[in-house]
Amino acid sequence: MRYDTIILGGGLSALVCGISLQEKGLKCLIVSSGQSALHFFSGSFELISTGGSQREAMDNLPDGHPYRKIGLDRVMELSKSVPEFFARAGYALSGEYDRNHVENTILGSQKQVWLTVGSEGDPPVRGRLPISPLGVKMQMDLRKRFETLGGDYLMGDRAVRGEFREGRLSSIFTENHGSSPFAADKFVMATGSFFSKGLVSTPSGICEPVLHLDVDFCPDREDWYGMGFFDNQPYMRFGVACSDRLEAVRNGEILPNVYVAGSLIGGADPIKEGCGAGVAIISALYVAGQILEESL
Amino acid sequence: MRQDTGFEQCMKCSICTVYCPMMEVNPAFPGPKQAGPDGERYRLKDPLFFDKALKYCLNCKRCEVACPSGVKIGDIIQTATATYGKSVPGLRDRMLANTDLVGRAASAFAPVVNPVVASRPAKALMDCTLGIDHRRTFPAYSSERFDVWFRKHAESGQTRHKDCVTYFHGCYVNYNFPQLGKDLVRILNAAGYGVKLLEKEKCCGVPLISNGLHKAAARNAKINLASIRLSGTTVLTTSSSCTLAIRDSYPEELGIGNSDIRENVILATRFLFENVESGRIKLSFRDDYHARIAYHTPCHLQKLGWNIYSVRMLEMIPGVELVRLDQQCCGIAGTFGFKKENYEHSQKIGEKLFSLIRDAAPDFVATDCETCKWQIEMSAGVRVLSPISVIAEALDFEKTTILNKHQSK
Ligand SMILES: Cc1cc2nc3c(=O)[nH]c(=O)nc-3n(C[C@H](O)[C@H](O)[C@H](O)COP(=O)(O)OP(=O)(O)OC[C@H]3O[C@@H](n4cnc5c(N)ncnc54)[C@H](O)[C@@H]3O)c2cc1C
Ligand code: SF4
Ligand code: SF4
Repeated sequence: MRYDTIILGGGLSALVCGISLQEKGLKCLIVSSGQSALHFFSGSFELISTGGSQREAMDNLPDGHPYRKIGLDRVMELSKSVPEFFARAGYALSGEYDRNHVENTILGSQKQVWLTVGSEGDPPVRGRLPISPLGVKMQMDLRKRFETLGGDYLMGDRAVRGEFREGRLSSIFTENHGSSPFAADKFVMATGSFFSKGLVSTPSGICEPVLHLDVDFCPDREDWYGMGFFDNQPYMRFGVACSDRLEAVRNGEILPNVYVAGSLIGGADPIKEGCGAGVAIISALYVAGQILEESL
Repeated sequence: MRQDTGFEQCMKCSICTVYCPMMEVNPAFPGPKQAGPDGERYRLKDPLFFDKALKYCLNCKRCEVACPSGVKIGDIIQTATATYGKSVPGLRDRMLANTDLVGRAASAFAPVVNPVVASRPAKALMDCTLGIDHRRTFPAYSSERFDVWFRKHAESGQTRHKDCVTYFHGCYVNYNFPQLGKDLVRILNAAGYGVKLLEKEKCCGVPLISNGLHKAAARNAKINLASIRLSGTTVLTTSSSCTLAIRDSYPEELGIGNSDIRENVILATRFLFENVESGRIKLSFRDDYHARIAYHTPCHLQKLGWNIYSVRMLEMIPGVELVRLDQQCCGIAGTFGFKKENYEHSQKIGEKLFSLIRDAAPDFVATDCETCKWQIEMSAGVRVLSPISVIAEALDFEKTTILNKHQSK
């Protein structure tokens, strides 16, 4: 089966990318092996939570951070479009795109956040831990929006391998569809990090199991974990290697028609920097923008 | 009988519990996490931990589709019921399960059986003696079985085509609705394919498994697999549940290996789509065909992930306006909803789907499962067709036959 763009993943990043492309009329397929980190969504997105003004806080990000690749000013431009994007999907977000506000967490502490579902100051919506009813609803609603716009969503199916031709990815194969290939002009890898098995740890190191993309990680296992709970955890920054345009790299060569989005990209530490949802959303919009530019 | 169900892979995230339709309507059902991987840990320690409420599981597999860790929750529950739920299935369950046996008998006396089964006194009788809910509409039996029709009227002409496929018709087509099988044979013939039936076809086993008759199911599975191997061709199906059973339940729930033929058993809409896409066959549709169709994805087809093929085939028809319904369980789950004790739950689960259908206001609903069809026709009051029958209604057979002439000998 043929599509304009095929997105591997099924979480926040995949959905934001898929919806953006379908909104402009590209025919997309999302292949998702199971439900995503969005099911644990607290109700607030974080862009960067290390300081007051977001743009200033970003100046302290290390080289190789996804925001640095995208360009900090471009990140802020994309950030500006996020409330509108969610409004089209039926979600009113409160908060400013360029300034954090303070949220009370369920643990009683306070946290710097970017955009919040509903209005500021609402008590955080949480049901029985760990599942978040709001996250579940958002996952379902975004999927529905993607499908209503004409996208196909394969739920509970795992991409298992790709077929390459002349330095490009030509098609992917999935568990459920066996030998029937899914072909496309462009592909987006948004399979998440360790939690979603977008990255797996093997005796020979960290690998990306579907396309065997190059992964940035420290080769010495001793360096993976910080000593204390609150220390830097270097493994958090592991992820697939990519160009400044977020094109994937395989065997040291750029794959010109495969982009990477979301927590699969290396270089970010979502816990320390408070940038999990931000990286997922901003990279997805950035990648979608490039695909659109090249297709129109 | 225990297979690799991956229950140790469970990371206790509870995502499965969000997608279980039974848990939503029935507080007595512990839900996929507790009935599945959590319960399994206890049951392995002591079978006394087996909870009778596991019988409420619909085996719809929606939990498996949602699980991020690939735990085969439905299989764990079904296997536990078979292993620890010692109760011997009663007459009613055995009747509902033995679609082959009952179908054979009922087809032979269809003119008598149909009005009797549909009559009020019979329904009341079945309700109080058998526990089959009187509010159910029974599918009518056909007076001529599909396999009998095929051997009499179609078989001899099949060898003039160069290529050949085998059709696994299943009990529904054979005893209740031969027209669907006839539609498929006509489409395939026009597309240049000859059709044959399996040397021996038995009920796929789905109703047997869900009524705890695993031994009988395994017997059928072995006969079907032997015939499929013997056929040496692609085997097409028109029922999503038969397909899932042959491909996945045989190895996973019955422990019978099928890896040599698993990839050859596919839904007819997938076969047609792939042949059209590769340019191997050409279909020409009538230009006077118009319909607003709502497509419903059966739970077992969602598990297979093949609904996209049926949807694409319907979208291929120029006069079709297609509404893709949000995937919701219809609530019948095979024979489950026929049982008196399940009727209320079954209807409550389906309510979301029924209201989506009413809102879509289609001319009719298309779906790939016969029990979804009964449930929707009875509860939403709309006609339901298989995508194959829709294609047959819309196809220009004359033109299609000419376009695929080169395929014939
Ligand atoms: C538990 C948890 C809670 C969080 N809570 C918050 C929060 O409240 N606020 C916030 O700002 N950030 C939060 N974050 C961070 C941020 O929201 C997530 O990192 C972000 O949602 C990641 O999105 P993603 O799409 O990149 O990856 P994921 O959400 O991990 O999605 C990846 C998807 O890819 C699929 N997949 C993997 N491999 C394959 C394959 N081979 N084939 C097909 N599909 C595949 C998976 O099934 C999954 O659906 C949280 C992160 C976690 C882990
Ligand atoms: S979804 Fe899967 S991993 Fe999560 S609790 Fe259910 S069975 Fe366990
Ligand atoms: S198979 Fe269906 S009814 Fe059974 S536990 Fe899973 S989701 Fe619930």
